[in-house]
Amino acid sequence: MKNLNFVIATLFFLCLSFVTSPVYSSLSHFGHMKINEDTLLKATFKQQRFLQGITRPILSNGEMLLLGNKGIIWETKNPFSNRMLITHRGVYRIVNKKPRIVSKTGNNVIMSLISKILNGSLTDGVKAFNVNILSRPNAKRWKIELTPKDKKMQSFVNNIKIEGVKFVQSIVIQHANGGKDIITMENHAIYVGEERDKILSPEQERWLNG
Amino acid sequence: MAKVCIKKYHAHIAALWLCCILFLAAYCVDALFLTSNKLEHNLLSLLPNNHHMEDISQSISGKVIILLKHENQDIALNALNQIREKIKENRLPIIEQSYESMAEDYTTLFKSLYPYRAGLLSENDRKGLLEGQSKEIVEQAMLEAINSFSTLGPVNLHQDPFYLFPGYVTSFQKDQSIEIDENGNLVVRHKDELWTIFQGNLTNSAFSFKTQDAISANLMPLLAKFQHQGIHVSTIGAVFHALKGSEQAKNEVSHIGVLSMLCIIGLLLLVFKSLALFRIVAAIIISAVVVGIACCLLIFQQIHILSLVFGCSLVGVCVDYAIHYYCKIYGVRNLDDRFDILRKLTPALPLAFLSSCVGYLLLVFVPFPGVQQMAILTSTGLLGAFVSVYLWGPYLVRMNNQKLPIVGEKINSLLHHMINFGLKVKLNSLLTITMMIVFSIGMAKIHFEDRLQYFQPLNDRLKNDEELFKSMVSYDHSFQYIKVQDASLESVLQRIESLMPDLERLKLQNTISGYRSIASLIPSERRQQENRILVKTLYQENLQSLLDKLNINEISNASSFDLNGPLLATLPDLPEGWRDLIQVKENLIIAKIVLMNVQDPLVMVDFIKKHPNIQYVDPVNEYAELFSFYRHIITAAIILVLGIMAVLVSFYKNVKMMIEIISPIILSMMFTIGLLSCFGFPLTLFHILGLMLVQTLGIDYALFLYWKEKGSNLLANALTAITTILSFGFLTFSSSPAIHDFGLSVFIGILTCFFITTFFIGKPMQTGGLK
Repeated sequence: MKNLNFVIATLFFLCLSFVTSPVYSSLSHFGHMKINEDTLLKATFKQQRFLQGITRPILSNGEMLLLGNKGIIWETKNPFSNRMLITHRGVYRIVNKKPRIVSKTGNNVIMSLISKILNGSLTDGVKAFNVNILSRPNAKRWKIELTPKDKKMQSFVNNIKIEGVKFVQSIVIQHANGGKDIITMENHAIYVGEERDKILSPEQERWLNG
Repeated sequence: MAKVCIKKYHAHIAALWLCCILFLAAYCVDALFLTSNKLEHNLLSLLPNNHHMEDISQSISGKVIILLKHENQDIALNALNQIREKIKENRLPIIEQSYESMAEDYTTLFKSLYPYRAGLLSENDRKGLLEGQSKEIVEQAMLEAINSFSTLGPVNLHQDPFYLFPGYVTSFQKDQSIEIDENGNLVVRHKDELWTIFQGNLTNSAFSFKTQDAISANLMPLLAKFQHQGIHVSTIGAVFHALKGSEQAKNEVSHIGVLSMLCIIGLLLLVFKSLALFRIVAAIIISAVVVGIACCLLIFQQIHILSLVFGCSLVGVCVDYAIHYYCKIYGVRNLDDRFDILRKLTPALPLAFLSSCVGYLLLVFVPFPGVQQMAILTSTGLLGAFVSVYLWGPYLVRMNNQKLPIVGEKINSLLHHMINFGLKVKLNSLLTITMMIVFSIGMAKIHFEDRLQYFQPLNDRLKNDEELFKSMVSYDHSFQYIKVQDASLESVLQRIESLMPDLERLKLQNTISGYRSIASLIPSERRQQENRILVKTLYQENLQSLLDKLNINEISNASSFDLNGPLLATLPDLPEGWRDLIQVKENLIIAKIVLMNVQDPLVMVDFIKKHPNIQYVDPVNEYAELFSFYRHIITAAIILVLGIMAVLVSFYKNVKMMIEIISPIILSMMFTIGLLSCFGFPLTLFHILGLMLVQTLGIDYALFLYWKEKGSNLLANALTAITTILSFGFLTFSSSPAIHDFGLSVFIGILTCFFITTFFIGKPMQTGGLK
């Protein structure tokens, strides 16, 4: 059951890492931006969760901080506040300002994938997926579809569609049980040096550095 | 008349005996090596039929774990694949426990449990609900519902809105250290280093010599090659310990065996300057071994390799019969009377045979299949040797009217000088007093050792490997458990559940670090009912508020929560690791609660006293009890043989003679025990086994000395003592405690027994032999 967590975490990483990592040569013409180790990407997100049998989606929104090659702080602000930390070591929930491990490993194929993606090796990382480029060649806006190769992963996720320009702007996860998550990302901003330090608190940096 | 008949037909009977031996030899070869494989290799089959031993065998012998590490992970992965190929190519008795198969087993299990989810709660959730603290469960459910980084699986508001079933499932995933790489290989990260793991289960017992041989011949050289290539290899599993132990024992015994055999051959050639002795030695030993093995196979239908080896070694003492026979051929006046030597050996040889045979045969009452096989092999083997001496001796060795060869003569004369010196200085009394003092001091310091750890010290490198693995993952290797049995599954589960609060207290007191039982996975029907009530209350109190917060109003069909469905009343297919926690035997359901790291066994004994009808099982301790029991049995057998011998000699001669014959043997055994204790050696089963050999041979020395002819040579006893010391005494140099103890006890005992019997019974005037 924990696998889903990692599938989704991976997919997030995967999506977000398109802006951080060298990608397949066929994807290299995409105009996404690589985030280096000392670079911070900040963005806001809105999420719609469509559950099977329930017509109205569950809505949430919040903010995401991605520190190149380190990890992500995923902070939900509405309908209630919650912070998650995702690094190559695992997935944590921030409780009383301390990361509490939620899952260290779980689906380790995914963890390995995350680790590789975090280290900038997306080509290796995406090996577990069939990549289908949906956008037109040389189009400014790119769109890809990832389908899991692994049967186990297929039992959780049918496919994932990612699109963006310079940064990832939308992720659609089609779950195997009929559910769907649509995550829209906006207000992307890059921070380096002193600016980065202003945004990223020492505490957050400590979490990301483990 | 009968004697005349026997003399007349002696040659025919000898030929008939030869035919019998040839027939039995053919039967043995066929049974052991050709058509049927009657050679047993599993060490545990030597032990009595004890379910606990089977349990420990299954649990500890099962695992084979190999850790591989190299700076270049691809090299470690390549090594892992080579291990897999080697196992496949050579059909090694190992089945890899792959991530896929484990995951599939668990998926099947939890799918089958899903319809019963309302009665299945994790310990944490149950505790929270019992204490009325459902807030955390509700919060967790909300988080899961909105979070894309869901930790408990797909959102399932219709069937399990509070994620109780995923909570129950994930509560069994204690160890999150082991990861899976993209190819499905198990890896673990430890101190920033990545280790690749091979994990498998043996399909045969780790204590089977066949298993050990297969792994030793195929897998171990491969692992050695990896180490040579700079790959760090660590091995974990009982089979590797067993391999190390048996390799060491085999090496030592074979080296010591070759050395002692060369020494014995050299000694006999030096003394007799002739190969003629080896003719009768070979004939007697072969007939003894053939008769022994054949009888064993006919009675038990099979023979264990260890019983075969150890039994044949004990039968080897019948070489003494040949030496006694051969020493008597010198200085014979009537060369035509080929039966003269047999007369000279009577009644000493029949009595010696009888005492040894009865002594070994008594071991048949020890409830160990291995010992029983050894008892039959040895006693019937000695019978074969005895018959061969009487039937073949006169035809195998020519009599000689010459004196002993010069070396033999010198030894003989030295022994006579020794006896005379002893008589002059009243050595008998002095020796008796000294030995009694040594024995008394020894008895004050005596202590016994029966622990398995003493006999089988673990290899340091393998221990370090295991420690390394423990530091990487939560690897609990526990042998102690509580056994709960009853007529039905429900009653067994209820009884386990009733023990859980007290087990939790033991955990808090650090008496145990944890426990594992089937009731944690499959609750009793009563517990399922209780859980359902808790879940219903949770739904009634919190479902609507959860839905409101998520802005959902569409869940109205409460039947989809399966709160009133049937209860789980039978066991589903259990995955590896759970299967051995419960079994059905003879209409009884037997469950084990495995206890982790029991710190104080006495607390567990008290625990059991408070809970009747359960049993605390500590297999390692049971081995110690078994060794202790075995030690007592052998000691009793020694006393019984001495008693039988005393009755026989008293009946044949008189009580005074009996005391003269028996007392040196008792004294030398007491001295051996005293001396070992004085030097701080704990007395073990193997010392006592050594003393049994000392007793058997000591009786032979005493009998042959007592019934020696006037003026005959004393060489035979000296040679048999030296050959015994060379055969068994050399084992003192073994680093295996069991072999060392046996060798040391035989060395001290035989040396003492030889000198004491020579001084006490070797006096010229005290002979009972034929005139």
